[in-house]
Amino acid sequence: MLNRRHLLYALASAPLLASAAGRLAPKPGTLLAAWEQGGDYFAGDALHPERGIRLPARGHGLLVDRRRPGTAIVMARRPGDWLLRIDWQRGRLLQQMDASLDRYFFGHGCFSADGHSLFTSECDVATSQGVIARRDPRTLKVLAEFPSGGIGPHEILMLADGSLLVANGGIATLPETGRRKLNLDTMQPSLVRLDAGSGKVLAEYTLDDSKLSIRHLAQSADGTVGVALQDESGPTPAKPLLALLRDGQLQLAPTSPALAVRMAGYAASVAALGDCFAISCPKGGVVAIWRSTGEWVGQYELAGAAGLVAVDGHWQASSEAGVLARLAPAATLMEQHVARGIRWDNHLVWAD
Amino acid sequence: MRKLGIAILSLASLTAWANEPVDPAWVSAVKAVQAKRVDQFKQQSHWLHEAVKALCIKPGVAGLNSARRAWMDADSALHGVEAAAMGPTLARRTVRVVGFRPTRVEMIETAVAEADVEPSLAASGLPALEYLLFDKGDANRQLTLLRQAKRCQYTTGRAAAVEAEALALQADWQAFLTQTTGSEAVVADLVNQSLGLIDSWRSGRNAKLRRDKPLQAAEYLQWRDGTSRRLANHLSALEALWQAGDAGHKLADVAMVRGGRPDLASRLTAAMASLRDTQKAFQQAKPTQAAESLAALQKQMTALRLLLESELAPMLGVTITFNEADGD
Repeated sequence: MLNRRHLLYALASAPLLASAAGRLAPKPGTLLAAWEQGGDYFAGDALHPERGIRLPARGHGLLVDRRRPGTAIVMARRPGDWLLRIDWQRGRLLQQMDASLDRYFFGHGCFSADGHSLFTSECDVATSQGVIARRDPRTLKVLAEFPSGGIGPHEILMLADGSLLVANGGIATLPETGRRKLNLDTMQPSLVRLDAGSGKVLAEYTLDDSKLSIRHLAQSADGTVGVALQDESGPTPAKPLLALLRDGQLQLAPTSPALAVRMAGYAASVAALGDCFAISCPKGGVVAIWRSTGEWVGQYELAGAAGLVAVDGHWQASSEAGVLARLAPAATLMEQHVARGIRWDNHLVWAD
Repeated sequence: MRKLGIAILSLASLTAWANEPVDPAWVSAVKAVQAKRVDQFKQQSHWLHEAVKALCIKPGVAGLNSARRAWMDADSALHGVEAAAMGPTLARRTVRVVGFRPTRVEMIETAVAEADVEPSLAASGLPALEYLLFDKGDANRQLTLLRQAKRCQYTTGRAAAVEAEALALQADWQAFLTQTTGSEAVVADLVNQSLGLIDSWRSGRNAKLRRDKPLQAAEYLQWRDGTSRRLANHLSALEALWQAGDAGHKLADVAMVRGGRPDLASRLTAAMASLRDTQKAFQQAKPTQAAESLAALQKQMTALRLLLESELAPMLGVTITFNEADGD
């Protein structure tokens, strides 16, 4: 499975990461991610990239399948046409499911609380409307579909009450025009809560600023949902990039003008730790943290900040420059290691 | 579906900060170049349909070879259309209608078995015809299948459908050529779709070299020649578009008027020439040279992308809304 270049990178990175693994993973388990290495795309155990599974194209989100220990689902980046099941422990591809002919994947999904259903965000290619597919987690086949309540559904979050929260980014794209955004003048992002069984719309939330694309989601211990945004308003973005859904209200988190400029209009991911949220801003090179009440906590300078996940009372962050860092809750650096030649993608998940 | 496409495309990523219109004569020339590509696709689709009909009337090696050549010509013509798809090509979604990939063999076989006259896109179009005409490689083995009346009838139907789409596309383009409005959308399509094409090559979607196991010699040649043909067609189409216009109304003249940068056009020409040299080298590459050729290709595509994104797009007043480096 390995080519020479991949092997050389892996050999260069593996000892360092392996020796660092104990500190980066302070409890049993590991970090999973997708990454680019030597022009090829991989996914799997980020602390053992030598076990990475080669992907057909660039991956995006990952989901740990807790009913099938040692396995995870990898989703293709938009406009994606595959889902994979991988054995991240052994570094093996177990299963591939292609998108339906009239659908493509947006790169995210979630399991139901009992793990018996897998939900994926998809696009109806004929109409550009968003679709949520409910799949059999074992076969990955579609069992049912319902509208996402908007265009461009991205991350999906299973809430504690069993409903689905969908981040409809609002941006129309089509397979034949690739990643070109086709409707920026009329985009209508929305956050939609759906009944996970019927697909019935239970609630819809929008921001006053329709140029803020609603992309990624996390829920804090107190039930607040942190929403990571991407600014599509122009070449010099300087807007808040975290919104908070709290007490039925979706509002932007207070953000200083300097930080708004610094974040450069692009939040790649969001994670929750206790009652705090962190967002990663690769273009701005910063990880920024707020409390779920909107109170500012702090920031950490990390060039190309990409993935984020909360593990055992601290943040884990990755970067496009190969950095894996462990941060204290208030954003001070605890550990940092670099996997040379690896460009981590935008999402990190914890597998134990 | 078409209405939605037109609505979306009319909102193509335009920018308000470039107030001066781009020379309409240059825009007309760009449209004329692309219309010519559409005409070629219509013509080649017609010959493909005729060749497949003849093959099915009298199956034989000569007829199959003729149909295969016609398929190659039609496929190459589609490469010219898709290289910088714009206007009606995008609104009709022609590239998806006649070029759906990846080929879904099981769906094609089911459609053949059921004599489906209106199969899904995945069981129709040029990729499906490629499977029906080429899959067995050896002509006699392919003819054994094509002598089944149901299969040949299905193949003919698919060729007819490709021609029908090509005809409809050409009709839409004739109307589009007479429109004097919408220049901004044409320029936005030209730049954005060119960038999309470059990204498709940079990301390996057009030229992925399988590395999980060594390719057999025949597989390698098939991959190399097919990839090389597609690349050559794409480069020819892009070159023709970027060199469009009569004296005084070419890209260099536009660049001079819009910022005194005629060198942008010559640098674009130079970047395309470098890509052409790499394509020619790749066309001859032995298996051991393929990875190096692809790396060189990606490097030059990246340079071209930088030129288009950071210099030409601002000069033309086009906003680029996507970046291959974006995670999503």
